[in-house]
Amino acid sequence: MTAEFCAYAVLAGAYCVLVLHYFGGWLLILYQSDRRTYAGVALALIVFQGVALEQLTRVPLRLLGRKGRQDRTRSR
Amino acid sequence: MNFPISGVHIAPVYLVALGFVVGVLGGFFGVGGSFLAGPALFGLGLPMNFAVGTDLAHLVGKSIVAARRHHTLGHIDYKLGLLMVLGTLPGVECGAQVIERLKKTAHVDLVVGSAFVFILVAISSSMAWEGWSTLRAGVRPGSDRSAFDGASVWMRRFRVPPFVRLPVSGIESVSVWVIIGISLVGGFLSGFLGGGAGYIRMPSMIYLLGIPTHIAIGTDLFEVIISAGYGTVTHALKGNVDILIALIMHTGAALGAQIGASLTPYISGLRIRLAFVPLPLLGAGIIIHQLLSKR
Repeated sequence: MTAEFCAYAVLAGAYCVLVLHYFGGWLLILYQSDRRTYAGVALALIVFQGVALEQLTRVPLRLLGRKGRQDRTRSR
Repeated sequence: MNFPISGVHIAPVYLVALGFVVGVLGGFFGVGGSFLAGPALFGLGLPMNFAVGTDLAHLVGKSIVAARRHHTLGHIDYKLGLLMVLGTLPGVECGAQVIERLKKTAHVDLVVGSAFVFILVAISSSMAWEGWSTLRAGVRPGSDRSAFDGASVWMRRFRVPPFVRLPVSGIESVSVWVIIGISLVGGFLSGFLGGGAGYIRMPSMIYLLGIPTHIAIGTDLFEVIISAGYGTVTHALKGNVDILIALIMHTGAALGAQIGASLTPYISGLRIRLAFVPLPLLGAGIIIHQLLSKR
């Protein structure tokens, strides 16, 4: 289970670097020049990430639940 | 790492860790975690207006995760959630306008910080008092009954039409104005202090409307998606959102929210409320420390 969480942490870390590297400059220009588009893009990005990560985080959680059930069965 | 929009240097690992902690608390208590996220962002060096707006943005993504989980558990009263939006949106706009006025006077950190501390201490004290009174009244900790149940009966005596029936929440009849009034206050605090203001709306739904704790948690999270979404847009238009910080915080919050929401069915309503008591005080402590160290 630790491996799944480590994999999630690595993915999250890589994602952070990518977001800062590729989106940072573009979002700053948008923030400074067109606040309306920035507001729309900001909302769209966080909603998209919310839906995407909801799907992604189900995997480690499902594995956690499966492992818990296996442990309980073994202890019986 | 430099965040060019807000102009602050914060290590992303702090943001992911903060997001994770706030996510677990948010998913578990049904509140967005702004009682901790806003003060913590302020503590990391973000100006208060950015802390408010950025916290709202990260909350949108996190609430989607937690609300989906509560939807599968059947803990969301959609009718109540949509009615609450009618009061929340004007409230959020009023709160954001007050922040805008304060930005011009250069006292935004002090005024918002002080108001935040007052609200957090009041919430914590009232929930501690309620929990203590409930235990003294002989209600078992495993029960979802409250010593303040009388308050919801009193609120239902407010007979100004139109009325609405909320079968999912077990309410036969309640004035729509009571729901809108509660959500208007929550919306104002959301726009003014950031987050979803679940720390005020969740107790209000439980004590004033008499909604079961688990339904209040799920419905609050659903309502937060809409109100925080609106708050994100209005604060972004005013230049108060650093979306890069929100996106990075949310990577931790997404996992935390799933874990937090999965824990709620195993713990009773009264225990959830009692466990909530020290958390607003922690947020208040961070703000006081930051305000004093800035002087």
